[in-house]
Amino acid sequence: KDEKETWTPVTKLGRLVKDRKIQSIEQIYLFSLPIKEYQIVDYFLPSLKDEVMKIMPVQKQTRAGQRTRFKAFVVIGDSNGHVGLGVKCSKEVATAIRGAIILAKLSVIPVRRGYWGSILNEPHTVPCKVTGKCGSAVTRLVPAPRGTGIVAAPVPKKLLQLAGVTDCYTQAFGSTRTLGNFVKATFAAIGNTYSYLTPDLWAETKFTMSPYQ
Amino acid sequence: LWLNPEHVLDSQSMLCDYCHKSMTFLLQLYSPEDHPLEAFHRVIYVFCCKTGACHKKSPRGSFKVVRSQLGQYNPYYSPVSKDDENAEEENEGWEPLPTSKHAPTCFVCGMHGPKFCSKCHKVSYCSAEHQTIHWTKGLHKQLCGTVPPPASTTPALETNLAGLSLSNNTAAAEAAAAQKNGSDNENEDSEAEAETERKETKTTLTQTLTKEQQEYANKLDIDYKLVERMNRFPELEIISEAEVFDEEAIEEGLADESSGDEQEAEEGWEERAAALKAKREKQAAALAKKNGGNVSKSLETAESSMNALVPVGDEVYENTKTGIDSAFLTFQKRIALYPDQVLRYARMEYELTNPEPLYVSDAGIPKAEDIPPCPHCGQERTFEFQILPQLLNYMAIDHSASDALDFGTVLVYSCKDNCHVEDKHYQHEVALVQHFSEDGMQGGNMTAGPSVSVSSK
Repeated sequence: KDEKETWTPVTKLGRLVKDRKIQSIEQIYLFSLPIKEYQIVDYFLPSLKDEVMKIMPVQKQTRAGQRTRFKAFVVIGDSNGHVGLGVKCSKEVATAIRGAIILAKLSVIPVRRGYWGSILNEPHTVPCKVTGKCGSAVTRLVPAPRGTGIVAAPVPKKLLQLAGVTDCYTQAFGSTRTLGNFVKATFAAIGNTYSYLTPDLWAETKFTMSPYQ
Repeated sequence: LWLNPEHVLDSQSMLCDYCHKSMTFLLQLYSPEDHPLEAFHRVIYVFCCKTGACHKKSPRGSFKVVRSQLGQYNPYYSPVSKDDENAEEENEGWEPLPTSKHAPTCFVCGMHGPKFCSKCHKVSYCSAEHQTIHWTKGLHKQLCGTVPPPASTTPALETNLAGLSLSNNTAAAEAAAAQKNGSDNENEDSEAEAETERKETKTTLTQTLTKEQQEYANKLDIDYKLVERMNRFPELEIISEAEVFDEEAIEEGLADESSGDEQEAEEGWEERAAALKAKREKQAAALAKKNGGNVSKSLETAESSMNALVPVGDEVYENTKTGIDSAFLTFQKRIALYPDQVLRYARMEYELTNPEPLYVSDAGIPKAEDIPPCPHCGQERTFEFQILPQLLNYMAIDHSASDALDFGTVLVYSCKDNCHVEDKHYQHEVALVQHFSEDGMQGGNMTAGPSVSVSSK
């Protein structure tokens, strides 16, 4: 806990965050500012839960045998609209996991949720059909009625749960056994929820000042 | 705080290249060298322009670095510091130059101040702008004629010196407060005190406190001695100009080696250098095995080892690169060991080849052509130290302003030989600014990334 208090920010954004000039992480997302310090994310989202998806040993052949390193995939999220994915390779498992958690925090992305049918209560599913692709793995997320739950393979299911999506149908194509690509594809799909122009976004937005001004 | 009190830097030489205003004093580093005898006392001053817009325009021109040096036998400081046992014998018959011969300095910025207030003829300025600032904002209008003559260095700088001894922080705060209130009594006392102590304590103080060279020895993966220690001040705002900051920040050191005496420090150097070399070799071996992201040197060794060994067959393994700014990740790791560090000094032993600075991003790494050689002796300039952005935390900058001062790191290169030119007391050196890259930290080949236009939920 002490370490968190003594964070001396390095970037300008970090300094602004530390001085409490920025109220929510949404302000940073609005202007697509690069987040380079994971403490910024920690500050806004203290309740992030991380989940190690897989530790994969990767090997490289050397003259003297094989050199093994461990690649860790970590998914992080508060089950309420923010997810992140981090991948890190290192000689030791613990170091890889730690590094992956930090990278995951840096890559936290907002998730847009919507309704399947009637606009009642809170949004529970993806707002529209979105798809994401990485390598040959393609993941397609389809809105589902309330109460369906997440119909997906364990890997994307975990990711969607941490994102805060309650109901979703999924379809996967390509080689989903390559977990790296599969999880990156579904992360891309989730990220696309905010890139999709739906009719309710047709209204012209007023531009606000970026936190740098 | 000028090393050479008789010849003080002129503010005309310290103008920002873009906005042409005079630059403000940022920090000073006392870094004595052995090689040329004239560099027995050596101070590097860094000035910077306060408007952030100038910094964004180009990697140089907005920071200026100046080096000043003095030999051991000079008319200002005693040849051997007072702490030494032989001090009394050695210093026999030596008298410091009287303060009346010191150059006048501008009340506002501390540079050479040849112009005097036309009313009281006691306060000096470097230019008409500073005079008007002091007159209006600095309340000189009310105080003119009643203020007792300040010391030859500006009162703020005096209190700086008083504040150098760590136990005197309250005195510094008092003096600062006294300035702010415009009351003169306390000011006078502390000034007088500070002044008499100044000569004696100057050598020892600057050695113990303005700079120390320490080893990172307790921690892992260090390439070179990094920790630099300077004094910390609470911010002293000179009342005459609210924007001027006069500050030196401390870095929380490890094992405190307070080199009380210069000679002691020198001897200790050789030992430490040898010890460090041995340690470094050991660490390099250990590092070469580690994930090549830690230290720039180990990165090179790791990469070279990858190229040298032929992979068996056509093994194509998954792309472990994340497409992220690797220099920045290295930087983060280094910083995480001492998150409070503000400055990294890297010129320690003479046998070492040029040390590598800790870059902040992959973009904007200065190439050899960007660093011109020294104009006096033609020697190349090598990396001496770098200023880290944590320093900006300690200055009273309003970060939410769009043109606030911001940089990734400032790399200072200085002449390898510390050349000395008679009658030219201040040599310009090179400072290059590197900014953070504008990329985010998203992973490699994903098709993702929201270009967020609306954030309502």
